[in-house]
Amino acid sequence: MFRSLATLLPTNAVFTVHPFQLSRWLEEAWTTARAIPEFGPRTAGALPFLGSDEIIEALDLPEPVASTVPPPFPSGISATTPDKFTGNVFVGTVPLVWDHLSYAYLIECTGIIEVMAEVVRRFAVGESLNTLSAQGTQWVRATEELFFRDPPLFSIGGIVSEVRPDLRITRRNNYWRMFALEPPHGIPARWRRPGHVDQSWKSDTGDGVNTGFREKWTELLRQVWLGFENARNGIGPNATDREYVAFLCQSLREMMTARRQGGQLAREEFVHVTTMSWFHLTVETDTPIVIDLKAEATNPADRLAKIAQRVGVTPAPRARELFELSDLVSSLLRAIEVGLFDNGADAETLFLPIAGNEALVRDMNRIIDLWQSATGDRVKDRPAGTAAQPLRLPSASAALSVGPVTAPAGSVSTAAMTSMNGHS
Amino acid sequence: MATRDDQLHQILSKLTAIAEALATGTPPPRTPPSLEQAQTIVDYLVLREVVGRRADETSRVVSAIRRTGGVIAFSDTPPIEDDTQVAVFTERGTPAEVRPLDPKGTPQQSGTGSTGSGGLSERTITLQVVEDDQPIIRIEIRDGDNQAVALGPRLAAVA
Repeated sequence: MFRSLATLLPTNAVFTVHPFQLSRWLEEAWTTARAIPEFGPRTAGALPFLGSDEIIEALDLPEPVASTVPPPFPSGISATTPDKFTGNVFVGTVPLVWDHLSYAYLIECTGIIEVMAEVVRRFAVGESLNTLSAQGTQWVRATEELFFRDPPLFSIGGIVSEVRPDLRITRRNNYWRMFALEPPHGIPARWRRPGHVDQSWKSDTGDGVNTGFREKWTELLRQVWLGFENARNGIGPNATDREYVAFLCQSLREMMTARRQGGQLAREEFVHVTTMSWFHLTVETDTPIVIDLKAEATNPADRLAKIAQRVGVTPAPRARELFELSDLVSSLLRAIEVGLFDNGADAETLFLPIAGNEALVRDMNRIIDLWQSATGDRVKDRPAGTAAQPLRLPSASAALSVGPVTAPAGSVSTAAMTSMNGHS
Repeated sequence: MATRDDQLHQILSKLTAIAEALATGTPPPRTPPSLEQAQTIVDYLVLREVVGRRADETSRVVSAIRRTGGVIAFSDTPPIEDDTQVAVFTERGTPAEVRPLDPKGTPQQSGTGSTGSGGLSERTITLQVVEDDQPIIRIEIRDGDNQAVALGPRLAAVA
């Protein structure tokens, strides 16, 4: 969301907005999702966007009873003079919604939050880094207050409390429930709270873990690639099965929306993706803090690597792919989640050359390339001697009952994803 | 079931397309989408845009404002064109009504309740079926071929 806000303000101005205003703006950003239109109107039985039509109103601030009553605590952000306070709600031009939880997961996999936590800590406790510019100081102050302390009382970001005191654990819990995946790096020893129990984010999740996510997701990418290979094939045998692609999309939708029933995880997703978007925005260009840290580069991954080197942390070796994947996968999973590709004809838009779908096909192709490179999953090849589609369809159940979860040693989620990151 | 002549015609058209592609070095033309596929493609492009990704060429998200008397106003900028049709949905499935744009210069009442966001130079539609107290969950902007090209915001009821 902060990346969206940045596009509405002058270059780098978002880092100069007071953290109080940014905190209030998050409240306003939450309510903008009310204007998001209904997607996938043909998908019978699909849950509405975010799992509930009522979740935004259920958690937002009360509206004024009349136009003469001021809204409670407006952000007052000015699009032209970000260091001023307008006293009004910040109004964008189009409705906005936050990214899918997969965005937060993929950005966290780069290791950026641990790198930036160390940067902020070093600036807070000593002089082991450069002297900061005024804009750099504003970034450090805003970052510490927005993301490394307890959120303000009664705010939409208030998902820290006695019952879930550690945001790192909360994020891992949410990733685990939605994707049965976890970041490849552990929680650094410095940030482990007293009584820390490794893998505690898997406890008490009950039946609510999408353990089949990665298998179906990878199979979807494989089938779409098969569709690319045969897109112009008009005369030979064509192994593409559009109905199977649609079935995989439907299975993924059912799985993800099972976790969203009643608007579950909407607020957590909002908090996690806004957090990650701040750090992503920080390294997306040569921002003031990047310049202060002498980490100028031509892409986010290289900037992150330089900053990480300054503070002695190792980011993910495949950070470049992860940064690019995060946007692409977020849009696609949102689309799958609202049921856009639930039938064969619609699923064809993922791989066939159809007028108007150039961007969609390009996104799919890029996702396949990047996912294969980032994870090592061989998406473009099938093992020799295997058929294009499996004999039996993957389970279409929304979630597998896994009971109290323990770490599946050597499972795909830990083994393969660990290879993405140099952390132990 | 396709006849033998149909099959021969299909084979001939494929071979012609291949020959043209080889001769000109350009790929064969893309298949026109069905109405449903066009909706899917637009939905995806709108989703990309509302999560913050930049639109490729033209924005697929249009702003709109709803006024009492069944009026919905749009900024008079592409993809709004003279032959635009607007499909208005109040529930999932089929649109409650599909309206052409009102002629330019249609006088509108003002000073009454409204929701949404709009521009200065505007085009309007006047709903005949959807009542002011019904929330609108989807507004689909369609081109002259009745293909979806953009979406408007969800609009609350106006009183």
